[in-house]
Amino acid sequence: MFKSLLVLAALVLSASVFALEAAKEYEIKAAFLFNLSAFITWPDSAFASKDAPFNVCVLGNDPFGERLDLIAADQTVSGHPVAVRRIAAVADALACHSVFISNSEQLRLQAIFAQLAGKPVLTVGDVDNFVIQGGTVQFFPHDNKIRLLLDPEAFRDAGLKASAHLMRVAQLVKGK
Amino acid sequence: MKKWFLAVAIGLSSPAYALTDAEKSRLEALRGFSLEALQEVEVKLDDVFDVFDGLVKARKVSVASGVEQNIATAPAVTTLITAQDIEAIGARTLDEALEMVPGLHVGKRGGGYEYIYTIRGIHTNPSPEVLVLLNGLPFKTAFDGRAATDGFPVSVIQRIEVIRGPGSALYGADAFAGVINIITKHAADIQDTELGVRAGSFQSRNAWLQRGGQVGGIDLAVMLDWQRSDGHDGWVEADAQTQFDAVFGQYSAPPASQAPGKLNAQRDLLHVYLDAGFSKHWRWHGGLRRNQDAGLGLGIAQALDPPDNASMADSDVLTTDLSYHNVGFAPNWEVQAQLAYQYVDGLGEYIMFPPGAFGGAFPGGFFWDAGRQNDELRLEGSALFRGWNNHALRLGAGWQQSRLRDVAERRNWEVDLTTGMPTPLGEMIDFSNSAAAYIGATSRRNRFAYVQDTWAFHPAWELTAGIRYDDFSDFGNTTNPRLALVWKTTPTLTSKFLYGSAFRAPYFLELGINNPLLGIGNSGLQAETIDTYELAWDWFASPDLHLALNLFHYQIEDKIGFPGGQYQYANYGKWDGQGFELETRWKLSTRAALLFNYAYQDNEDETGEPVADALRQSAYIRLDWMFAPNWFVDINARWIADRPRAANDWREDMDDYFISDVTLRRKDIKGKWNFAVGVRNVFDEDAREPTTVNIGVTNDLPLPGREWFAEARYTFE
Repeated sequence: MFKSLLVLAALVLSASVFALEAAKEYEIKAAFLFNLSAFITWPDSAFASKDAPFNVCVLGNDPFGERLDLIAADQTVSGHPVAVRRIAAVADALACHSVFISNSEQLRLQAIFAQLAGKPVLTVGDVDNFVIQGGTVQFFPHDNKIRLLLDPEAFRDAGLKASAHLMRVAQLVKGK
Repeated sequence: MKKWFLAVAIGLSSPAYALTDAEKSRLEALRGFSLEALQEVEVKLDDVFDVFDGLVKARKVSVASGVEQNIATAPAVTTLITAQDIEAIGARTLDEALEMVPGLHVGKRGGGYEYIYTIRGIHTNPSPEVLVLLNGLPFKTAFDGRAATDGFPVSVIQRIEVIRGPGSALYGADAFAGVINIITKHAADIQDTELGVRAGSFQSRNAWLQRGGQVGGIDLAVMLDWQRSDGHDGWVEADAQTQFDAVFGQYSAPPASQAPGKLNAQRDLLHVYLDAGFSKHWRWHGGLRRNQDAGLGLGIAQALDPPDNASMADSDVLTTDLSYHNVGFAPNWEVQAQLAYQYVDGLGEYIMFPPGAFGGAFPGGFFWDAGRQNDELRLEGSALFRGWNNHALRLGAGWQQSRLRDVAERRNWEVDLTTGMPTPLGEMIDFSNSAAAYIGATSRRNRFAYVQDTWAFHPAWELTAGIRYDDFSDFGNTTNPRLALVWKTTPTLTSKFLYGSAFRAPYFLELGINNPLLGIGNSGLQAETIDTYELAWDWFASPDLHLALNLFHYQIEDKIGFPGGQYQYANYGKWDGQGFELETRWKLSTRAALLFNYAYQDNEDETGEPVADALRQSAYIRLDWMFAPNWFVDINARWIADRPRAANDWREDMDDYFISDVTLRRKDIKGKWNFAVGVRNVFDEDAREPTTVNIGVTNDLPLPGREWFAEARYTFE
């Protein structure tokens, strides 16, 4: 009686792949996380040298897996080669240019923002009220799509410059 | 059996680490998108066919700490069953869906053919050691510690959260072996109007209708579900009356037993649920469950009914609650309050023994009619304070009143206290609300308060500490602490150390039943207590492979039951148990996912014998596969093994069983139709559940053989 099940299991492994109409949530978010960097200017002081890497980090439980590595593979930001790093402690985020803060860090958000205050690190997250609590850019769901919410004040505090295009595309938080 | 699981494990062991070509090309395309274009890409959040992402990535529960949390870091061992899971496996009732939880087994008791929830080998009849919550509120009654969940329809369920392990520090009484929280659908969970029908073996019929939408600013959901079935035709070779026939046969009395014969698992259930969310912070639930002419399985005395005159049980359960939940009540304060009421009215007309029982002393049968009304009124308030850096502090207090009233009883027998034998009364005599009734009216008040703090004292560490005090008007007070240390060992691995103390309240029947045939209550009973230690790991070995392992050890004191050969309840048992549960979720390809669970436990009672009827091993395997666009197949199988007999039970050991189910579904992702056909117990395995005490049912309680169903759902505006 088990033979038939085994045959089925074997069939599954060889099953053809069907094209998808839409993308997975963290595929889109990985693309956003990387593509955002094209619309933001970091101060020169954020890089040790001209060919120092541009570090994209994930703090806490990693929801992207290899997707983010694939998106960032062989890419550059303003001439800096992109490196993806997974970090467990906020202290390591000081070496990052943009850091995605996972929902596993929900309780620690305020401590994280306090430690990164005034540093040229773009904080990105998808926890509810991420921007209200002090984050820079938040992904939020709308009508089964991903939208951007950002805080211009947080950009200024971090010494980052958001392009006019990014400001137009995203929703802005004012006077929180 | 074991060989087969091994074969699957080896045969499929090449890791599916890398992204598929389709995923790669999709990601490369997305990288080239502008920000505007990215904002227009539709997310498959409810990707019906991607069970892995649904199960593992989006897993958040609130049952572990009262705050919504990611399962990996929640301070308890939890399992989430989503509506998507339920649809995938083709579950028809809550109990069918619960079988996928490792370490949890849904058994049946012979009398009543009702659930027994066994978690980690804590198996008793009835099973009051598992707390069932409906929308976060206790669903069970103080009468017998049971919840009205038999046949609970999946059509109204949004999700089910399960804790294996103690929960008394947050939920109080009976969160002992585990907690099952059933969350019903809100308006947003129902697309316009859904009509569903299902039919299958044993004349089973099920229809449901639900609608969700906005009415005058209120988010309103209305759900109706009706089901009936003749029940399966499980064959019972010998029953309690067979044993009596052997005794009375010595005096030339003709046999009275209806065995061999078919058990009675008939069901007729109506569920109506209403859910209204209004003024942003308020929600109201109303529920009715009407259970009519329910069959009694083997019969409440484990003697089959005559075919022309069956025992029947009716009950109505009404639940209603009003809750207030404000996330931003004041800066840093989240506040919640609930007022809830539950009313149960039940009446059973039981044929305890068939005509001719007791050597012909009962020519028409041995009858017992028993009814009762009980209600539970509850008020609870809690607050969550996030004002201190790295802390989440939760405070709560509440009050509950449980009452038993209108005890109805009619019978044609009494017990001769000198011989202990039942003697006929000639006709049905009404003992309702009298001193001779099986239990007197009674009530209980429970007051409680709790405090819990989660402290993220280090970037990788979280400590949750909590304590709850409960005071009961009838059996005293109890204090239950918990401690959970959660360590994010690496970005993909979480480790947990958990300790919890929990208690189970003696229920009214244990405290006050008064009938030498049914048992004698003991008003001096104390709560049963349990101390549990757990070590748990949650590991994403790769983005497509998730593993969880937990080890547990528990010690139970003051277990309530009948000490050897006596008929009066007492706190006398001491159980000791340990074991582990392993869970694997593996995404084989973009269109297929595999789940595998294995649970082992090894417990013993105060005499050093294994706890009777408690399964020692179980395994569950499930394969979900989308084999063509919109076509989906689910195959799952469970193996239940090693159920020891009580030391004084001479029956042969229980056979292990292996039941496998197949469901084939066609669903238009954005369309209106959804069809499914399913076969349950495909190989027609003769599966049996243990009958607790050996009073003549030599071959235990049969479960359904092979059965099929077909289902159609239609969504319209």
